[in-house]
Amino acid sequence: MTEDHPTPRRLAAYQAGQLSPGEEDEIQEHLVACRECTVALLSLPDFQELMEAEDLETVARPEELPSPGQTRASWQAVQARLAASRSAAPAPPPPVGRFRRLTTSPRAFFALAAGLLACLIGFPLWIANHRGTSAGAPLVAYPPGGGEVIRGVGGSGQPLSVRLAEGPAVLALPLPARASFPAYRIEIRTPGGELRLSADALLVPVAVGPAGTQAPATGDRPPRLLVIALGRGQLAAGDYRLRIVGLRGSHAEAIAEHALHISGS
Amino acid sequence: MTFQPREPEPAADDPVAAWVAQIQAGVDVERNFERLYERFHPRLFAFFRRHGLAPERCEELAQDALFNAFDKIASFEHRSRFSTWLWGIAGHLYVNEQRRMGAAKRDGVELPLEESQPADTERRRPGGVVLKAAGPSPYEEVEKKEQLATLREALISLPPKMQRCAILRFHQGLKYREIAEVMRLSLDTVKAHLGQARQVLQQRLGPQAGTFFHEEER
Repeated sequence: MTEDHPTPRRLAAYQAGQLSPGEEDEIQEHLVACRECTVALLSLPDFQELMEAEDLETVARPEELPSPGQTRASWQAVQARLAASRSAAPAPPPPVGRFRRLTTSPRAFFALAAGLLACLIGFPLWIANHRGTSAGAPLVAYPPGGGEVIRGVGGSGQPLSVRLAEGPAVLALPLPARASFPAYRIEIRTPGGELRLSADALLVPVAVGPAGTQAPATGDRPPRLLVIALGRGQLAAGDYRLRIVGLRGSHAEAIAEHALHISGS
Repeated sequence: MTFQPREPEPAADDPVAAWVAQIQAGVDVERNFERLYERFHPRLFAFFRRHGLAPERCEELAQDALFNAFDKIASFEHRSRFSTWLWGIAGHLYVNEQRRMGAAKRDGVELPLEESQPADTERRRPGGVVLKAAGPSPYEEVEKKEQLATLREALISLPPKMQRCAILRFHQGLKYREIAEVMRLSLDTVKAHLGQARQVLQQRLGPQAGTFFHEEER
């Protein structure tokens, strides 16, 4: 019995009286023979008290609390672990029945849309880049819209205009050629600076044009796009600032900003 | 990469649930993780510290608990409070730590907190019970098993709950209020059960019964 320990959640359910009499019996039989589980159960009220207290200092003694600044440093360490864990996450295996899955999973759908978008706009964007518009013009696509696939938006100081009335939209933002961060985040803020959305962006290299074309012989990096999807209803209609933030370890740096207008959300 | 088109569930009276819902919806993720961290890191640290672990170990465990929680946050379904869900992770780490430290052994001696600090090999719980960090030796393990078997045999005529109360007291050395907590019984019921169990032990085992009783019970 002691080898088959109840999970902490089951112990909590037992303590809360949420188990059947038969299940309670089982837990009790285990507890009389298992010191670790008994100690864990006896620690649960402490845990609950510490977690639920409005003011931690009223229930914890000073020597039980972390030192000043420790929580901040600890958070930075965990941020780095999370970033490392995300970048090390293995790619999912190719699914069986790929077409059906791609059309039913929102995540896969956005990935597909982003890939198509990158292929469709890559070459014109490259040309635009080398004609002197260093970052090219952002684009937006409405994948489920049927027919209306791509529209050029923004550029020349105009805001990116995105309509979210009918469904999600995919934004493709050309990355300035000088940008060399391993990862990027998109932040969308109100004009007053309040953060409304923040998400990692997919970096899509656009290095290959249509068959038979040659890459212009320049020392610049090939054009790259940052792609994000905006869900319907996630931003209220109105004006925003969209910021591209480069990430390297714990360092974050704003590298470009666009005016953004959301309509019909 | 994508902002999932999913509405966060607002929870005006529970800011923690609101932060979690926003993270799950892809809204202001970093800031909300940071808010959760600021709230729960000191609490988890205090929990592990209260249970006798060294500050460095408390930091590692608090960090691991929150890292694991953030990693799995998509699986939190808002059926309970976030802190209850967090217990599933932190409690697991705590139990593993108990095992890692060698099946902490309670010696049954109760000391007030104001008394001298325990030696390095011992850990103190806030209730005043001192736990020995070193695990039992193989000889002690065998002896304990034999004691448990003797107790169970002697108490076999008693109802199961009474037997369990007696084992928790005479074998694990728990205090009355701890037995009441573990068994989900009132303190009076525990006292009554133990009184009866003590009589049975004395009848069945004679003078040998005394080996199971704490000093104040002899």
